[in-house]
Amino acid sequence: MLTAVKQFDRKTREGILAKLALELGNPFADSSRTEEKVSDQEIYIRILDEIKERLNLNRPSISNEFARARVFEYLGNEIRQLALDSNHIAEARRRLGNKGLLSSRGYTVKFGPEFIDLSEPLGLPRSDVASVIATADLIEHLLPDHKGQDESNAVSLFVKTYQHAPDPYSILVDGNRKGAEIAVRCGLRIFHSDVDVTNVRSPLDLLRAFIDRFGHEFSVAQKTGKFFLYETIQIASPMASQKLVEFRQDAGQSFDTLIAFRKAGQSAVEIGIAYVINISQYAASLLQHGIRVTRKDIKLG
Amino acid sequence: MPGPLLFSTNPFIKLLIQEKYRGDKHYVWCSESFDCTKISAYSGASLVAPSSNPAEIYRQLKEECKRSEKHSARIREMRTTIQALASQWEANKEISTSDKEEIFVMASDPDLATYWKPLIYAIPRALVDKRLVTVPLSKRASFGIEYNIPDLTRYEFDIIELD
Repeated sequence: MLTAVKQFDRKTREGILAKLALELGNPFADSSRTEEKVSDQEIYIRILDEIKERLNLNRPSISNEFARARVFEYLGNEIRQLALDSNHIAEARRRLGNKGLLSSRGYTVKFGPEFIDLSEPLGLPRSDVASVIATADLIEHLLPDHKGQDESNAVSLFVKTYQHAPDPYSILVDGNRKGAEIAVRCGLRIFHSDVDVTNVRSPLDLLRAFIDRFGHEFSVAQKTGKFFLYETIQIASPMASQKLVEFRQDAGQSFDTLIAFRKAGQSAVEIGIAYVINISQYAASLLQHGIRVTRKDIKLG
Repeated sequence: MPGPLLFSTNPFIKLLIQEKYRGDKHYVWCSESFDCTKISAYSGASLVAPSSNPAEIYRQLKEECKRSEKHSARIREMRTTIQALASQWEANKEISTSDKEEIFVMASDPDLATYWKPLIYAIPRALVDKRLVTVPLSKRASFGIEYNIPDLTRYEFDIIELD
C-alpha cells in the first residue's frame, strides 16, 4: 500500500488514485474534468514521488515516455487492487461470459456429447474447433434475454474462414454459452462450393445458408420450419406424451437433430436454437471434398 | 475548407464500454484528417501531433496488439485511464459496482488482440458539427486542431478496420 494514502479508507484511496490517474492524462474523458481545481495537489505530489521512488525512477520526468508508462501501470495496479476484490473476479467473468463480452480466449471450451458423437467423426477434430473459437474471424453471441428467454439457452456462434485454401471453406462452431464456458454442440466444415455464401455477413447468416442447403424441415409442436432461433412454442399436451421434434424420415437418409430448449411451464417450450441436418447429403459432400468421415450410422444412399 | 468526415481511433474495449455501460454514448477525440502527415504542409490539420494523429494511433495499436506487447506504453496508459474512469463512474453512481468490476476484468485481460485492437471511427461532420468542442491548445500535443464529441451515438459513425 502506498504510504501517502494509507491514512484513508479503501474507497477514498481508490478515489484519490483514480483522480490522479485522470489528472495525468486522459484521452477518453471529458476534458473539462481535467480543468477542475485540484485541492489535493500536495497529496498527488507525494503519491507520485513515492511511486517514482518505488519504481526506482531516479531521474523522474513525467514527460519521459518510459517513466510515464511505468507510473501509469503502477497506479493502475493500485487502483485495481482497491477496486476489484479478487474473490469477485470469477463472478465478474461469469457475467461477462453471459453477456458475450469475454474475449474468445477467455472462454473455457468443453465438448458436449452431440459434438463428440456427431461432429467429430465428420473429420472435425476438437483441436480445430478450439482453434476456431480462439481465433475466430466472426463471432456472434446471441442473447436469450433479449427474446425474453432464460440465459441457459445462450447460443454462441464462431466462424473461421479459410478463403485461400485450394478448396475454400469455413468452420462454423455452435456452442451453448454458460458464463465463461462454451459447451460445443456442433461443428460444421462448410465448403464454399457447396453453400451460397455470397450474402453471408455473420455466423448466423452462414448457419442459415448451410441449413438452406443441408437442412431438413421439421416440426416442433405443430410448428414447422427448417430453423428455429429463440422461439417460445406452446404445446398442447404435457411434453412427456409427445415427441418434441418430428420430421419426415426419407428412405435411405440419415438426419442429425440439434436442439437447445428448456421447458417453460407445462404448456410451452423455449427453443434456443434448433435445426435438423440431412447428414447423408452433408457427409457425402464432405467425402467428395476428401474429408475423412468415420461415422458408421450414416446411410450414404 | 474542412472535409466531410472526422476521424477518431479508439480501442475496441472503449467501444464496448461506452456501448454497454455508458448508454451507447461515445466520448471521442477526433481530427479532420485520418492521416495528418499526408496532407499539405500548409494546412492547419497537418500540425496535429503524431500522438494525436488517428493514423499513427491506429498503426501503433495495431502493431502492439499483433505483437501482443504487454509492455506497450499506450495500452498501459489507456488501461489505467479506463480503470480510473470506471472507478469515478461508480463513485458518481453512474454505473454499478458489478459494472465497474466487469470493466476492470476486461481492461486487465491479457488478450490484447481482442480488447485493444484499434478501430477507426469515420464520423460524418454534418451530423455532429454543432456538438464539436474544440480542444483547448493547452490540452493538445501540438497546434493542429482537435475536437471532442461528448455524446456521439452509434448511428453517427461507421467503424473501419484496416488489414
